[in-house]
Amino acid sequence: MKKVAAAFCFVFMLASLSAKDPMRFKRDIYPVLQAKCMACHGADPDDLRGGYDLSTRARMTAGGESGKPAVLPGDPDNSPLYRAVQWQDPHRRMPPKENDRLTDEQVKAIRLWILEGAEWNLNPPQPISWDAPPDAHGRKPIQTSGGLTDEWTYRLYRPDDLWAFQPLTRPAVPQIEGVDHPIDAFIQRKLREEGLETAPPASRRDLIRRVSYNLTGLPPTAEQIAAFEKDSGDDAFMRLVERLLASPQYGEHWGRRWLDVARYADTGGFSNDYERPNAWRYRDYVIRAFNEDKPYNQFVKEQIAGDNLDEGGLEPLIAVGFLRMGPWEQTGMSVSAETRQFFLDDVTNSVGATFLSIPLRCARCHDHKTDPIPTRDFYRVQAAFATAQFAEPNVPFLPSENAARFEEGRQRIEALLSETKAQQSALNAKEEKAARKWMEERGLEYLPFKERQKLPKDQKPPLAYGLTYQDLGTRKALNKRVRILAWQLDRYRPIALSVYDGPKAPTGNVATRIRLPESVEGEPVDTFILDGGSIHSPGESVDPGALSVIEMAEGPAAPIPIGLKGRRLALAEWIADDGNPLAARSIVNRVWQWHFGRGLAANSNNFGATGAKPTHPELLDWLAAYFIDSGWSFKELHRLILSSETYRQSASRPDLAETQALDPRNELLARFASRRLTSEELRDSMLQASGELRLEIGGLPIFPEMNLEAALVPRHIMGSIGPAYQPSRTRDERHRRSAYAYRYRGLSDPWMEAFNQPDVNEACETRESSIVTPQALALMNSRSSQDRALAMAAQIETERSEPTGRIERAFQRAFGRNPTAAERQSAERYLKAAEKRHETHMPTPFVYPTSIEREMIEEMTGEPFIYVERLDIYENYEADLKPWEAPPQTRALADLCLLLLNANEFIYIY
Amino acid sequence: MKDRTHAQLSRYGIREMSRREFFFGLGASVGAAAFSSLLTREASAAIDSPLAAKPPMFPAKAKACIWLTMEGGPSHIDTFDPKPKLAELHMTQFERRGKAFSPMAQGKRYYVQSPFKSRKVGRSGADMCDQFTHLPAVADDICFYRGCQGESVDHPTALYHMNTGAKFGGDPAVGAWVTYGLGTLNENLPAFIVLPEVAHPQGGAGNWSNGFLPAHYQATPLRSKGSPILDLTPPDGGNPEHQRRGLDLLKELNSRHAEHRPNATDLNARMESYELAFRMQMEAPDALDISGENEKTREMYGIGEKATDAFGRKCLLARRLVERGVRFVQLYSSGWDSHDYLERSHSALIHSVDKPIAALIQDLKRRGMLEETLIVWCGEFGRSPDNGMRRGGVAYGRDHNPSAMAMWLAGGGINAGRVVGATDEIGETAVEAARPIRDIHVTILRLLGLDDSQLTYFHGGRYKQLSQTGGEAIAELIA
Repeated sequence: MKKVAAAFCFVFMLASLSAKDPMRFKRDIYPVLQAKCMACHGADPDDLRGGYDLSTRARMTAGGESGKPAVLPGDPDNSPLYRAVQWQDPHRRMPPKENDRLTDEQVKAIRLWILEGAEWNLNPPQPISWDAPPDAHGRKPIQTSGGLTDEWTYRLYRPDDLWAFQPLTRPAVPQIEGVDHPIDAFIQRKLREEGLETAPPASRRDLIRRVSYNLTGLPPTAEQIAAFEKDSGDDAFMRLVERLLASPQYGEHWGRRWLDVARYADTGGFSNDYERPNAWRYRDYVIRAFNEDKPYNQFVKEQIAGDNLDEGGLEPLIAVGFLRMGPWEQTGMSVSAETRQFFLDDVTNSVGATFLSIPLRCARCHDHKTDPIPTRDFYRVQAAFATAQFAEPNVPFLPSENAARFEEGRQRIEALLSETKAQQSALNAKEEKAARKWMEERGLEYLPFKERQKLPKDQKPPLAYGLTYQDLGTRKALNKRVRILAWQLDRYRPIALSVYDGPKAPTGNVATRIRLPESVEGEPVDTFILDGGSIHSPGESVDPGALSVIEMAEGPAAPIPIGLKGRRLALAEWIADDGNPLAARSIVNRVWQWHFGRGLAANSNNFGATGAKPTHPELLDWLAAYFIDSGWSFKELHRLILSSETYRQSASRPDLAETQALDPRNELLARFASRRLTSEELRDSMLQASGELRLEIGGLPIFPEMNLEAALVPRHIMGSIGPAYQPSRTRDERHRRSAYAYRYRGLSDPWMEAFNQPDVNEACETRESSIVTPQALALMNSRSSQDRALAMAAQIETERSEPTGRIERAFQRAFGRNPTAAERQSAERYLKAAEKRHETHMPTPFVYPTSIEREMIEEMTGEPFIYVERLDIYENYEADLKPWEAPPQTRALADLCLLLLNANEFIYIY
Repeated sequence: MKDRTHAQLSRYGIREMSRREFFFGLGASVGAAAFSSLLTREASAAIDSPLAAKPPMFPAKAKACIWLTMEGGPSHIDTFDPKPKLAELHMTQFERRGKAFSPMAQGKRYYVQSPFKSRKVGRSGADMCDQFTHLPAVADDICFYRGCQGESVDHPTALYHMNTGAKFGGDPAVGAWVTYGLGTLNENLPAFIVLPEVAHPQGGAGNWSNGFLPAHYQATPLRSKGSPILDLTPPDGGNPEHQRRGLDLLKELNSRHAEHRPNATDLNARMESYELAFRMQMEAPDALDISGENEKTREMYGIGEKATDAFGRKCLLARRLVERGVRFVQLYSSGWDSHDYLERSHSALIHSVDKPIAALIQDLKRRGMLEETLIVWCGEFGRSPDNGMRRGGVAYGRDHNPSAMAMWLAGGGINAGRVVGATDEIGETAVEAARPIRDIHVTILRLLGLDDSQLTYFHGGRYKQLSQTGGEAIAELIA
């Protein structure tokens, strides 16, 4: 037996030797040497690590300082180079960085190449056919618009790294006895291969809680749970689904998820973190789109090219605000060519990551290291945006937009503005008074500020004459405040954050609204491949284009025009085309992730070779095809997914430990994945439990109460401090859903942040749910949490009159169920002890501050100065119920409520 | 790829799977060496919590880092890198235009000399301007570096770059990477603490973000006024007995809930986080209370003197925190952006940090802690040799300059008493040992026993690292 095997090996070796591949060195080896080795071994002849040079065959084989040959042609196993890339010897691992370590395949290729004689041929015949059969490892070249080097252009790919770029297949649904639902059929086929089956159905209680949170981000009430438990009709669950899909809270919740990806915020970030006028109109557009079940292909086109669309009225002008959602700023100090390029790079990447699940950033400076995306394509896609210029035009408010509280809001800002201007004038008058004195003392005729500027130095007082450092600092702060308030007045004008097609536009300071120019005609700006991504190294110019690797199922979509107009529309049409496999896979995968907690492909922003491979590729394709066939309808897709057994199965199962050992990440879906509430869900649920939640839809952002210390931290902005964070004045505003809370880029709500509210600068791929101590502190000790608990207690007291009933009601409000006998007993005991404490312990009243002293370091002097900011909202503030206004009994009940809101049962969904 | 992710998660104790699952997750593609090193780490550290102390990747003296950030961009020319040539050029006018320059650097420009005198200090003869009167005493404990170069002329992008290795915010800060790599020595205190000014720096909390690293590695900013840790206690101060009673009921509810639930690891971890919060409530106030320090120590840090009180408190607090096992403390001093009135403002700022920093170094030294602590001093960029003379020629300052800056290291493992690198004769750009910020990051990790290229985190389909794409330690800075 052994002999046979040896003989077989020998034959196999001969066979592979005879099939020596002339392309091997140029295609498989040289690029690896270049990328991974030559930086230290060849790029700089004066700086060779260990004296080893890989730039010629002779030097490569000869070796370095050790004096021993590094490569023995024909004998890889004794060649130090091969041993080094294998990382065999802990002292000689090459490349030394784990990040750079060669893949198994690259190591194998090096072995084969040395075995074949370590030839050095950089000019082999080019491959002739893109359709040539795959090599011995199943790898094939793939045609693109071409890389910066031939090595890249003709490199080989493993087919499974290219899954996302392949045309959509329409796989047949597996036929499994007793399984009708297509999703279940795909899932169960794989489960059965592993000897598993779907878990038993979830309990009615878990199911209604799961689907309510899943579709609306809110829990069902105790009454809804009870009714659903009683409703034994076959269609009870789907009736529930329909009710939830029809509620406006569906759009708020699913819109919020899209906004995570789109990086929605109300400010621009960086130095000034200025407000973006009416960014909320884009937020509400997204919410409406989900509620109206806007076809996704339309949704894509409106967000990328809304201003190019003839149909759809004014709304697409708001939708295209998507392109401006990233962080961006132009200050008096920025180089405008750089900030413009920053926008173009950012939008190119985010359009790729958002709509195609291919982050294009990786191809900005060089051809993509692992995916068939040449740098050329990065700049071709970028050229589609090269004619997109910023504008904040007037787009009249739509009947569907909520314009409540505009008048009072405008009046407030106008009052603050005139007050600040008056303070400014007072300081200017002080300077003028001193200047007048200075000039008169010298027998000079007084001239007002502007007029005296042309005088020679010795005939006018120095700048800021007569002002103290305190005055100087204050004046700077006031100047900035005027600018910020003027911005905020734009909230009440029908401005849309938008773009238009036009020639190069002057990019001024971001501190002023950008208006549509009178003429939008002219020559489009050229786009160049930028060497190393630097604007100072433009290379070859490129025309707009799409990703060249994608072969459209129905032939290529219309080419992208090279003129000024319509580039983005053509790109959007290419993305949202029925034949583009990426867009449908991308969104279907996201929807799956938002139902099950994990995408079929786990990196929903990255379908490339380094992203996770789909666990059920056929199901993903089948769903994508179904989605396209049902008119790109989200709600149809929800119905399909929610009606599956896979969705309705329990989160637990009798053989849980074994199943978890076999499938720790639950990739096979042998149970439903439990999860923690997101920050927004948690806050909204607490408001619902306390009875305070207001379900008003859309409109101006609201400002929930934030930890007062965090809210009042002076935010250093360019040359000054940003205004204090003040909550909305009324309870009706503050107690609205978190989706409507104002998002600063430069100031996050620590309570929300503790519960993993993501950073708004990167497209959020998935919500984390790490468990950290600040969560316990925030949920137990913060004023907001305690206020919710007290409101909940007060609400319960209006609903039930005796302690037992109140305990019962508290459990109903928090958990949607009655307490068990044991729980009731423990709660009663706790409540008694709490009452005893509160009878003797009076909470100290706390007064909201109506002004805040800002101590700042004045940059001109290095001296601290004090600036007093009025906190006008608190002057007329509608506070929540406070402990010192409540009797001991209520406070004790609030303590119990707070514990329930902290319990795992409240925070986890199954 | 999947296997590496499993190993990565387990190594840092991320509670994604049980120990048993971790072994299941190890596939054939993890080499034998990697496998055994994982086992060693597991055995030596008995990792349970993601913040448990982890052994360094290679031997290092420094166990903790105190990072002194001079926000705004201190002038290298007027601190540690004197340029006598500028005295000759003083008030020489020239004109600069071009699309590649910030509007700030364009137009009519004047070279300006330093308003301060410089002298040689310590046995090493390092240059230091005469405004520093305390720091010379510890000059031989410092390694001055003149070669660092940034890329950005705007404050927030430059500061993000220095703090996180990336210019646009949202990436993990150095302190987050360090605590990810080393864990903490005291889990009852936050592992990564920031002592900002009352006003947060430009770019805000993005400067101490955990970025894509798990939230365990985020910084806790301590407030210099008000309660140091947000919501550390309930608004009314709380009562330990009453809180204990509440936690016991919560535990009871949670245990009952866990009986039939599949996510036991999470449920227990959450419960444990309440206990930890409770312990933190007990321990943190003591760590933060400097009233127990004797009068001499307080005086040494300049506490009680108007100019130095604020930064002195921060420096003393930093020592107390590091003493108690906190891994990374970052201190901010703001206002170094002296476009005008350079003389007055830099002088005031230098006085505000000089005595406290010298005291910190001396105090750590006498307690035998200096060798185990790495101190970093820097801003986000240096300043220009020229100025636009906005104040009519009397109150000149300097503008931003990322091509040259002042920076120094002190403490464990550094090449003390050396001046490394040099800028050109007017201080416009680094010309010797000129290295990008990422190399400073790699050096700092190295001094703390971490290898930038091994300290990676798989995120968004790529192994990410502090230096972004790899860097090289600056050998001259290391002893």
